[in-house]
Amino acid sequence: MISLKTLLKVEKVSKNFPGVQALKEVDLEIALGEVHALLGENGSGKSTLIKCIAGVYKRDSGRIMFQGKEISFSSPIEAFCNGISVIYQERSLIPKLSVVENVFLGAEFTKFGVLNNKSIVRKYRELCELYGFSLPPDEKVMNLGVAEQKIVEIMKALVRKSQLVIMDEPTAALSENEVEHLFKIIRELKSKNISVLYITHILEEVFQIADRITVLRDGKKIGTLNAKNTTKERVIDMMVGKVLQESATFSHYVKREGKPILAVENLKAFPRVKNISFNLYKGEVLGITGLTGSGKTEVARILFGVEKSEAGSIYIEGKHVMIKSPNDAIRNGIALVPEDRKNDGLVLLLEVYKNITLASLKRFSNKVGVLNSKEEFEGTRFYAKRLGIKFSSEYQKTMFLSGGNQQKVVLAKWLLTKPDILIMDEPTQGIDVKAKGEIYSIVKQLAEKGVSVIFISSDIPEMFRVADRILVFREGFVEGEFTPTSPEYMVLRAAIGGLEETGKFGNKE
Amino acid sequence: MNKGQKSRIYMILGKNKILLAFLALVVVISFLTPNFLSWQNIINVIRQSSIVGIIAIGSTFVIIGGGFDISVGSLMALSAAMAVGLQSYVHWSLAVVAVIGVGALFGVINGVLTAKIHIPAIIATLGTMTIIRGLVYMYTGGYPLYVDNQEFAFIGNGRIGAIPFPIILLFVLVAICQFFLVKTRFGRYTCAIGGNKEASRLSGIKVDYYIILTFVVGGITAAVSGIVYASRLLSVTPLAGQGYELDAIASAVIGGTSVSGGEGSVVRTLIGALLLTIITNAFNLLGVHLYIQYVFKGIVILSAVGFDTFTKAKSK
Repeated sequence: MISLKTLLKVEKVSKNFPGVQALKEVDLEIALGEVHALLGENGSGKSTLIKCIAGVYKRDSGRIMFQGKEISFSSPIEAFCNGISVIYQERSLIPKLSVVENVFLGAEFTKFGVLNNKSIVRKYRELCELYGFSLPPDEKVMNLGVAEQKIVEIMKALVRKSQLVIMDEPTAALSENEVEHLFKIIRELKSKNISVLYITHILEEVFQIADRITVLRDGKKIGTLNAKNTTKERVIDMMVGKVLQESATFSHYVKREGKPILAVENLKAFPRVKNISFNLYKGEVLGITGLTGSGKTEVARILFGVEKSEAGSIYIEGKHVMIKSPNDAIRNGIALVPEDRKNDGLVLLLEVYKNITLASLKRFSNKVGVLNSKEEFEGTRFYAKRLGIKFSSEYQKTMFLSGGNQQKVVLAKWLLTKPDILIMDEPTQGIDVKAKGEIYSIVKQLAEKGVSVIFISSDIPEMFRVADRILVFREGFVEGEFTPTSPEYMVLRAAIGGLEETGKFGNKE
Repeated sequence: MNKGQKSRIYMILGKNKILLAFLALVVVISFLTPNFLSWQNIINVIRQSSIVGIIAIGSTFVIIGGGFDISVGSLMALSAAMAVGLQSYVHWSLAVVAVIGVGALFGVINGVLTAKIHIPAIIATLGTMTIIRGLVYMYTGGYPLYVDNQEFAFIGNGRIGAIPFPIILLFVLVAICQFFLVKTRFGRYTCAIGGNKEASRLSGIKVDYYIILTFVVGGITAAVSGIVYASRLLSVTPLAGQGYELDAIASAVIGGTSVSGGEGSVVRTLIGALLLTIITNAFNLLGVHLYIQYVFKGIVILSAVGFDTFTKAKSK
């Protein structure tokens, strides 16, 4: 079924970032009209690879051949114009423009410099007929659902005559029906000899849609499999790097003594959080992991009063609490180190010490609101020393700090509020290995001092370094509970849906 | 000179470039017009700056908090008109208090429209600017109002020692408001909100409340300015204060207040306001035509802001 003609050939491509080798001599071959799935855990090098193909990054060594010629794009636009398009998780459309305007953006037909709307619409209709699309051309993109927006992006790629469409977790926010529809379109592309490189975590999808599967781990290619002749177990083995001993399907449940400090019961929030319950005990580090869209960030934001829940209760030390704003959360002893450090965690324009004291400024001022700078500096220096924050002076603007130091500033800000419950959402994202290690040891020290920590991360190996207990969220439910001694592949299987039905102990209806 | 010293000097220069520009301009002008540095002229320049200067203090808070307020020129006129008109019914001191209350009230309205109804600040205050100007016409009936009260006249015309009272008032307000901006929770929160609203909200700050408060400061300073104006002239025409909001915003941004919010200083806004007045004053002394003055003023505003935004964009 796979034609023998090769469209894209990646040969021994390597890419280094300061301190990390993201890709180590990776090979990849995509045939004409093939759907090729690229699998791997977080940090395995998937994104780096597609970015090297699409001209976002420059490879350090190796060759990439496309349609028989060696390519080296210096920008995504160049790749796009030469037949390689990428559909990222984040939408890259202009919401206020119509479908047809987005599809033809930068590729409009003009007559003497004036838009030729007639031939644009005619071309649009042709495209729809050819591939079976049915979106109204004049609808504004902002009124479309996520799935329809993906289709607009695919149409955009087709207008540019893309030969290779790379899709980065295209189904992360789609409903089941929408996924079906997307697959229909992918099959249509295939029949027109367009190749698709499909990146996902969800194994079921891979077996539904892909012809071949390539697995990456730690920046290396582990192997390429023919989807028809392999099993889910084999793929998971390759991803995790451990041979399956037995088909253990039960969860490792940890018994905890005493009353929980935080109890979450039947939390629901459309669309991501379907039914989540869990307990958090004093002085423990509770790891929460799961795929993008599994609901973990939403639960953190609900607990901190940033987002609303539709149903469910939150108890702190046995008392039912209503958390309607971050202010309520702080009053209840909750702190949140948010996922998006630069946009949600820091005021980059402000000096380091002003960021650190921002959430506890009442403590540094008298009754009428006059600040005590001396105490502010003392507080800043105390936490700078304790967390190892490096800055040239307290007056340095936060924007000039490294990612790791910025994250520690956010952490210092929350530690100053003396929280009982510290929620950290992807706290090690985008920071170097050394700073990651420091964050882990800080978290452990905090737990020893009696702070209860919820450590959210999609990096599964990280869970084993830091958590006392690991919860796995999947599609808005708690899929499983594990200990650091549980095998890593079990956690991964729970996250991507590989647990056998009998082993489920979560609270699915 | 070693590298550390050098970079420190650059930093100090960078931070005070407005002050340097100010001093350079003073030196140049004093050579061109010998009268410029006379005591009488200096006092004149500062007194002339006081009306816009006081408004600009409030504008600084609003802009740092991420907003804009173009209703303050109209609000100054309404305040001036009411300060005069109310004296027919009550003692001047009560009129002053009432006017400040009205200023604060319109500040609350501007703040609520922006923070709670989410109308972009410039449009919200465009609306209230028009409404308030209408109120000025309604209140005055379209005619100038007059008052004759020597006690009230002191605010705009009196002196303490050799120094006119409006100058003292301006400097005291600048000092108080600079203290508020730098040394209080309100000031800190204003900078944080203007710098990053979402991060501020997630730090537990009542963002809406503090945004409204910045507009209240803007309203109160506009009212105080209106009182000084009324007392200075002892009369108010319905057209008073037109364009003052633009001069106030210009003073703030020439003084280095970031147009996108988060950064600024009341003291530097004062220097910005003085700079604008000095340019006018020097041109008058030199006999430059008013039309050319407008062009030059515009160029000064664009240079001051453009220098700032361009270097920022480059360093990114």
